Amino acid sequence: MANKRYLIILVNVAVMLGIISFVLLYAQRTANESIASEVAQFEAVTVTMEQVTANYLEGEQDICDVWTRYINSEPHTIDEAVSFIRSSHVSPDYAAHVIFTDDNSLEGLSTRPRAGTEDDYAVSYKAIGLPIRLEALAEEDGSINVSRSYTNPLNGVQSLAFCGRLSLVDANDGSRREAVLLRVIPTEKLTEKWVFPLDSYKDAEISLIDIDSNYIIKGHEYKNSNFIEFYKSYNQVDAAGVEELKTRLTTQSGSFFMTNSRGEQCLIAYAPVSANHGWTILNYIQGSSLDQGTVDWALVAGVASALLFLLVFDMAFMNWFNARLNEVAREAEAANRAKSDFLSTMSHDIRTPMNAILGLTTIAQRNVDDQAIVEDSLRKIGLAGSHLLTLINDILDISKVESGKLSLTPATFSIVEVAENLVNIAQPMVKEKDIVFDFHTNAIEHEYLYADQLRINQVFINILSNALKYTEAGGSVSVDLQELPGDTPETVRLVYRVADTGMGMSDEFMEHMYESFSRQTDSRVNKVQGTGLGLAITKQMVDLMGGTIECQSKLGEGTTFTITLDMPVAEHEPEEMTLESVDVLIVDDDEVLLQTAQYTLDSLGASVEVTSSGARALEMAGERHSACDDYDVVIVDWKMPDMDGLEVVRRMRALIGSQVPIILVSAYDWSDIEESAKDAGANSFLSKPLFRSKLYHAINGLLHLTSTPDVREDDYSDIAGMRVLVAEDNDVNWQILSMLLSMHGIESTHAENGQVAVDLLASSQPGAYDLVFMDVQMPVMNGIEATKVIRALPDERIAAIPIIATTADAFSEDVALCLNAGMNGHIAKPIEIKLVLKEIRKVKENKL
Amino acid sequence: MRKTAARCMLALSMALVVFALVACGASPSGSSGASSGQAEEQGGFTPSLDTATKCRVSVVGSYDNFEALEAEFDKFNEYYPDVELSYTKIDDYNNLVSTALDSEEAPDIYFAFEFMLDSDDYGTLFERAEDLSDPALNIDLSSVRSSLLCKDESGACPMLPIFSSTAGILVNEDLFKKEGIDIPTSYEELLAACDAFNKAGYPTPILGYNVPSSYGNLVGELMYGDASKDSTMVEKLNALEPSAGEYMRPTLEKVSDMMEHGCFNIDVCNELEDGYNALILRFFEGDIPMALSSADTASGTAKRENQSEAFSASPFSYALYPLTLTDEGACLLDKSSVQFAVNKESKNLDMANEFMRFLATPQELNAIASAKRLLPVTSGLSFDGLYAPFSSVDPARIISTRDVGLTDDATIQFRVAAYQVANGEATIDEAIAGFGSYTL
Repeated sequence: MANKRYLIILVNVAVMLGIISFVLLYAQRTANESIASEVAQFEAVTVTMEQVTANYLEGEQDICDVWTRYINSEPHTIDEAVSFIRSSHVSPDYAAHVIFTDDNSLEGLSTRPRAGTEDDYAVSYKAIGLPIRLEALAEEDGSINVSRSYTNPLNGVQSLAFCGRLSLVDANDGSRREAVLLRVIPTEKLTEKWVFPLDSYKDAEISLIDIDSNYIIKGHEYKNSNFIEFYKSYNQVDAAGVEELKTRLTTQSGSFFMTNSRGEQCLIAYAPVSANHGWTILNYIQGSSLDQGTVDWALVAGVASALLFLLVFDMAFMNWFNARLNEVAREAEAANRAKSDFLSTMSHDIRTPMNAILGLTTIAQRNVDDQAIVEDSLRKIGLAGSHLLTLINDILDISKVESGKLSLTPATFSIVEVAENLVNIAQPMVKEKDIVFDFHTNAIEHEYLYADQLRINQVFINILSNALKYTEAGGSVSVDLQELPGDTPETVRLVYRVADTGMGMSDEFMEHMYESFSRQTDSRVNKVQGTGLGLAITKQMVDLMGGTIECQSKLGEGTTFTITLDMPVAEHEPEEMTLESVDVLIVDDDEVLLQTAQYTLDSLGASVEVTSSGARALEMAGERHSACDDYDVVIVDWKMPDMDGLEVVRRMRALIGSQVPIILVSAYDWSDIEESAKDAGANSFLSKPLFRSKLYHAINGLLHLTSTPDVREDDYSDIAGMRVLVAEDNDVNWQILSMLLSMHGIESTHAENGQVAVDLLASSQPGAYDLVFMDVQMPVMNGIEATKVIRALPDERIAAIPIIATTADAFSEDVALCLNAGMNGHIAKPIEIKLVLKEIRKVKENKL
Repeated sequence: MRKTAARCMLALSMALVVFALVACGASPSGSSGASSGQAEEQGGFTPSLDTATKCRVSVVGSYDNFEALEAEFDKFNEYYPDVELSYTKIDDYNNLVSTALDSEEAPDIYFAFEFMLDSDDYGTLFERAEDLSDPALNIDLSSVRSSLLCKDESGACPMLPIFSSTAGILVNEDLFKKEGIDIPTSYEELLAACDAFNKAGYPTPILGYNVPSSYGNLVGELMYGDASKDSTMVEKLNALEPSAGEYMRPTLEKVSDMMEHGCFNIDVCNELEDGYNALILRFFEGDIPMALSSADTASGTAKRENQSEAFSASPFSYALYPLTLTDEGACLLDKSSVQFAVNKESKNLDMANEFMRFLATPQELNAIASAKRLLPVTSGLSFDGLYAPFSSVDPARIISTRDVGLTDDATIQFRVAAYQVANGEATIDEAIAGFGSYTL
């Protein structure tokens, strides 16, 4: 692995260096091409300048020739010749010398006086010699006769001379005299004319050399008086090389690089001057001026930096990616292990209740005649089945949560019902474990809220169930449900707090308690272990609802869970409730309950007195009774420390008689004390928490302030004789439901699928069926389709028949799907007969 | 461990990238940075003018080319990059330099020679010369040997010696070695060596440029040696008194003596048409044991080595030795060569003086002498390379020609008389009789 890593790094470095090398080579090649192009252009400019030079030389020679022809056209003395030239010669910088050549004196006259004088026109070339060989003077027109660079003997200035042969007459004897005309031009003036024409070559310099490579015009960068000597001084060259260079300079145009006096590279472009054999124009330019800016070193640096960055980035990314892969591999391994654990756990958790169901079934079958054994077995089978159902529901929920398919189906619901449901659910375990159970509500102003009741129930029940489950016998569980103002007037904030004195949780466990299948292990509670999915589901659902869940726990001392949920207030027409002029005494040792109940009754307009002591309550009731001003209602808690509720009721009846209604309240299941409570004199029972509506309806019912139905929940005689159509493809399910319904005097008709149900309804008379229980997944036509068809039946009364889904598709979206199809309700399988009967009653009461 | 290795790889790659960039980013012809650094290290010169000054400074002289000076131009440009300096040779310099100074294109700096100071012909040359000893110019002349500094009658220093020179003989050391002949250190040994070479088949033991002006190389030691000991002689010689001609007799006798010993082959010497260039090339032929030469001539040998096919084919070692025509041992005639004067009417006088201030530093005077292969004018006279044989000269035998005080006219008498005797144009007596009448 390490070797592969180094290999990758090496390959990266090699590729990076390769790219940089390529960029460098490419840039260098581009630069070379650019230089070559510039060299070619520089050569072209040099050739052009050679032509300009030729034209200039021809022009100057033409002037000289014109003078020569004129002077030679008729006899002139030297004075006349010089006078003529002086008259036509206007440039102050130029001069003309006429020098006799036939007597070797090399003396003559100048058109300009000697420097420092005004009238000394005599000039002698004796000392320096004629700057041009007489025999080299061509007489034909068009030829250039220009001298070497020499010092003008009249002013000491380096000059050139354009020459012509003259034939003069001697002023004394009239004899013919041979002379030469020198049109003398200072080389400095020529240098000023030879300026490079292009701005791009502003650093370039021009020189003109003669056939011996001596400078005629010398640029500043040129050294020595001779170009070849200059070249030799700073460049390695042998004699053959020198000769070859001389030949090139005088026979062809071209260029070459050389080292200048400062050791720098420079380019010399040359072109022989065609108009004057032996002369060559040399153009000089610094090498740095040629390639300056042509290679984009910034680009090279940029590429190199980018590659370096890429290398670093790649290596960092590779390290990160490897770490991530390791992490994912660990996670996958953990997931695999979790899956194995899950399967193992599921196997265990499913087999356990299944074992109980099957074993107890066997026991019951073998003891059919022993009613006690059968009843006990069936009760335990029911418990095991319920646990199994819970387990399956949890598994399905966690599956949906983890696959991200869990969604919320908000609807209007009653928080009072939720609380009552919680109390009811808690009762069996509270009773079984003799747990001190308190349920407080606080400032519940809005009973109807808009949220997913199913999920809220699930969350609240999970937390409460855990508290009850992990609290040992004799411990206490306290529930607080509080309404706080929401962020907006349309919302409220529900705070649900469950505190127990149970086993608590370790810090280590709390770190991953919201993970699936996390269960606190404790020998004390091994027998009550749950699925290990509840908290995971709860957390996910709270998150989904945008709420928070907090937990404080200490091992061995207990746990407090606090769930905070924001939810909208439902648009619900508030029921007109008032208990004005009702005088109420509340007796409870629970100060919180006293406060909340007093607050609630005050808000209903009642006159409330409270006491936490049964004895004090008796005193207060006695005083009132003596004053013939009995309370209208007395509300007594069942379990109080000094005197329990039953005793208080009993004494109070003895004290004040039977006129004053007494309501016994409790957070416990009061079915066991129902008889003794009635015997003691209690008129009614209320389960905690004491919601506004609950109190109102209870007091209202006792005082007959308004008519209220008094229906016992367990009495279903009112719905006997109703007729239902059951669309169910599974015969067993049909038989179960049919038998359960018949036990309550309800007639049922079976439809094997949706189509049959539709047909039966379509062919029936209105009112033939009061309700339809519709399975969803059925052959031929499923329940959804069947419902849609029924709702579309021509007979409006038949089409409007209530339809309740009875399906194993128990998720909220399944419920929503059913309701959207036109169904009126939803009951999840396995069917709980109470829910079925409740739905039938709603039909009976036209509440659907 | 793996992290360390990865970091090393990363560091290596970064180093490679940086190296590549630095290597590629280096200018292909860029040595300007080094030059600049050198300039700073020189330290002997600090610019006193605006270094952004743009102007042209021209130097004129008699040298065909002067690359040693052009090298100084380059150095000066490191301080003043926009000053364009140029050197131009003037034909027939001695006669035309005054004319050049009169022209509108008058040079800013020009060659001057010691002999000119003594001649009325060059009066205007020095009238136009800046006094380089003027404290206002801040030119430090202290590094120049005082015996070389020339002062005019007013005490002004119109020119700065750039090189010093001497006279001697170029010796083909390999040829002496080959023939088993010792290089002469006295007059007797010189005659003996000439005899030996003649016998060995070398008809021209000593080569010389056979024109009167060149005979100073032959007679200089005798002339200045005697004069340095006799101030009366100097006075009489300078006065060109006819009787002073007798002072030439010892010298002329030795010239005649050497001719009789066949030290010179006049015919061969007459073949040297274009002066010292021909002399050097002829010497490089390899069959000339000795050649009369000034240091100015000897300085041109190196450049002409590859111009000589014979020397290129068969190079040999050579050096300039003292020419000893006495028995007093070798002597060194210390005389100035080229000197620079500044045209005080220069259009760029400040910059011309600034250049002279730059050139007067010991570093530059030594550098330009070294480049020119001439003896420096600075106080610490040292001999190396071509002039190494002079290192054995007794300091007491270093004769400053300036201190001796012979005028140029006086030396001309010696040179022409020696030429005539050597060429058989006059006897010794006739040559002495002509004293005072000779000109070049």
